Amino acid sequence: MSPLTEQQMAGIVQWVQIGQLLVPIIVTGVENLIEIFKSAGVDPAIYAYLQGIIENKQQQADAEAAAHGYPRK
Amino acid sequence: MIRTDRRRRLLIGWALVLTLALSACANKKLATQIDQSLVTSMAALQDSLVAFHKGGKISDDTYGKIMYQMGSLWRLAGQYNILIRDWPGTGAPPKELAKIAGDIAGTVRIVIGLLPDTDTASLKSAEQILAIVEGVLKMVGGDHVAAH
Repeated sequence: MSPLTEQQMAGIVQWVQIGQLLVPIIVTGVENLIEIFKSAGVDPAIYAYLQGIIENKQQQADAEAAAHGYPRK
Repeated sequence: MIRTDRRRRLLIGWALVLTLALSACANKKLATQIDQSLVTSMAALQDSLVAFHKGGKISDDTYGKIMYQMGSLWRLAGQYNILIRDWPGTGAPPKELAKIAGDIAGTVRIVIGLLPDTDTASLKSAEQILAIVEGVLKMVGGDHVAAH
């Protein structure tokens, strides 16, 4: 087996450097992907659900405030 | 050699696109979780205040004042919810979040100032809201809540 040429050595070093850069990115990406799949991402219906609670509680607060002398103008 | 370079650039490009897309999803998820926590804590605060008032431990006048502030808090929570709903998750979070977070913190402080010392349950919920608002400001990269 013939020894590696200088160019081949440089190529290997370059690939190792790229690997060092890419491995953490890929690991983080896969971790995030697993997390997203686990929680099935953000369900857009959540905002309508929260808005429902917000409006309901807002009405309750306004009614209580008005009933105790602090109506909202 | 040229082919290898092109392949390498393509690989790096795809890795970056994937990472950006995933981090966008993660950002939106975090903002939505904060949204949910905010609504949950505010509902807990209001429920606790109503119970405290029913128990006759708070004057009608103070209760009215606090409930007026709660009305303002819910309006701010509504604005937060809409902003997060409409934010695609990419790029920086909407800058308006910092103002809303600051306004929520200011209103919660008014509520805390009105609370009787004995209402520890409401105080705990109010402090929880302040902690959540800190999270919003960290996400937006705005000022510390104490600065408002």
